[in-house]
Amino acid sequence: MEINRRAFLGTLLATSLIPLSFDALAIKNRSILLAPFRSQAGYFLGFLNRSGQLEAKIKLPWRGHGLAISPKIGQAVLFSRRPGRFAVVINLMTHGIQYEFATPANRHFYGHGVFSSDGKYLFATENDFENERGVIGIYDAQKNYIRVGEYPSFGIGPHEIILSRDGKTLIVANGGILTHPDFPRQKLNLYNMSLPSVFLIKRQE
Amino acid sequence: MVTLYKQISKFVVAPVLLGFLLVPVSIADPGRAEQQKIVINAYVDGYVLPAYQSFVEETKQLTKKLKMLCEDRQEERLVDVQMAFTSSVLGWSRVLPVRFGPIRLHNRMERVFFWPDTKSRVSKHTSRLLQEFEGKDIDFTHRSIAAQGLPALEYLLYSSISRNLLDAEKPNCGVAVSISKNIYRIATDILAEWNGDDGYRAVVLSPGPENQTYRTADEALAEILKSTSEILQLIASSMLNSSLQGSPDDAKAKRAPFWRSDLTLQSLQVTLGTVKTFVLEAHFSSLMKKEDQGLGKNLIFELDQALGVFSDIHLKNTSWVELVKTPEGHAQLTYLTNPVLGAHNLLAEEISQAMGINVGFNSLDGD
Repeated sequence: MEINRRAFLGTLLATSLIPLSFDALAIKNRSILLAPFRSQAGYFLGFLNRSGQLEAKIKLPWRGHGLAISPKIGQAVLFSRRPGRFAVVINLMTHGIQYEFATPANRHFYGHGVFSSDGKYLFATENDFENERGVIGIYDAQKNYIRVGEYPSFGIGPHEIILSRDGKTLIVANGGILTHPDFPRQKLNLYNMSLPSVFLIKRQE
Repeated sequence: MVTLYKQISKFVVAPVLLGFLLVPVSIADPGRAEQQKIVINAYVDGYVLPAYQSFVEETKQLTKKLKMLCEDRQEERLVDVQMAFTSSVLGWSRVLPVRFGPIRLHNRMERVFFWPDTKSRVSKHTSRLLQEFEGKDIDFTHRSIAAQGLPALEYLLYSSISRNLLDAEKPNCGVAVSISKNIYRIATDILAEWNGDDGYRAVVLSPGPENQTYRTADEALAEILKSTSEILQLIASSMLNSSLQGSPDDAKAKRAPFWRSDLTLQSLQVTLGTVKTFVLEAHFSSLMKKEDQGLGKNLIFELDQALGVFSDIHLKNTSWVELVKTPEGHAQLTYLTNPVLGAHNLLAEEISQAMGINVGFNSLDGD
């Protein structure tokens, strides 16, 4: 797991991969890095060893962004980049796609998510674009990732989401930038954007 | 003035620097530096300043025509106003590729051109101005930006309430004059801040270690390339695709800018034509090696392909709202996005690389 980010990026550049982001996990006592990347042949999810060598790759129909990883259930979820609505579930043993799922039509992903510590639920940052508010979509990992509910993110443009070390609190960063999928990636509220904020959603005991 | 541009520099320099870290191209050639200066000079003095000057004049005329209408509410004066509005929209379309500098301060871009408007904020906030109008110039300091610019004026001039401009009992004409004056004031401020000894013109034309915004001509040039490629991306991805929605049945014509006045196509055509003109007149190609000169020709080819579509569409004499709903019109507009995105890709990647410049992230990119 202890991989120097700069050295790793240097290795990737030397192999002419263009990483779009990356996440790491230790599996079977060896480090694996998952990185969505772009090449002339399109978009991929790459599995790299700690030397930065590509061990496997999966072709994607869209540009991937962030990953949620659960070693507990042996799965990772790759989210499409905003304003994408799609995500794929990767089997970490076979390096294959197990499921594909999407947000409802009136939501899109912001590219990040996190598993509950037991791996049963996936929480994803999403845009309720018609109502101009951020939400956290809740997906049941034991039921083919059906969407079972959502929390408000208490802000606009939730992006990164992490789980506290004790597994009881979701920590959500609201970037504050309003977007709409009809106007991809255009910032629609620069004139009255509020400061980015962080909200904590604590599990009830 | 210089302090003001420090605010901008934070947003501009960081991505450009990152670009240079990733692709450390640096060509210390005095001949090249001189040529860069010529290109930047031609862009600023040959395009930016005259375009802003024209926009100032057009909005001044618009205000004058509106005042004349308020004094004598005749139908023909309303026609004069609408013609002046058309000139102002087309003037704005000419400056639209300049997405940096004074236009980025004090929300000026959004105040002149509040778009997109998915929540009908223009009509809501302009209606509020009508309700609260007290017969004197409106102070826009604490007013919604949706009611301050060209779309607000368009709503007063081209919607179901446009006849109220001819009614002396209604506040519409007075509100329209106030909005027009506001646009003129913003245009005047932008031009003034480009000019002057320490204006933005001087900032762009004098890169160096002491310059807070552009330390090298490469950085100034990267700004110009980024701004130009960004407007092309915006036209294809947002202005066109937001209306097209994949099929004529799903099309949402009212997502486009200036649909009420049916100036959408003219506005896009003028913006693309302006890009072609300054690419040619500022001699962008002169910054590329002989073997890369073909890229410049490819760029002009793509822009010509796009402009050719407008010529075909204008022959039909169909409004924007009808055009996007017809299969043939929809297909033509869908095709139009291809050469526009082609031109964007050429500028953002191949041409900038051939010039030895990495434009970095634009404002439509990011995490």
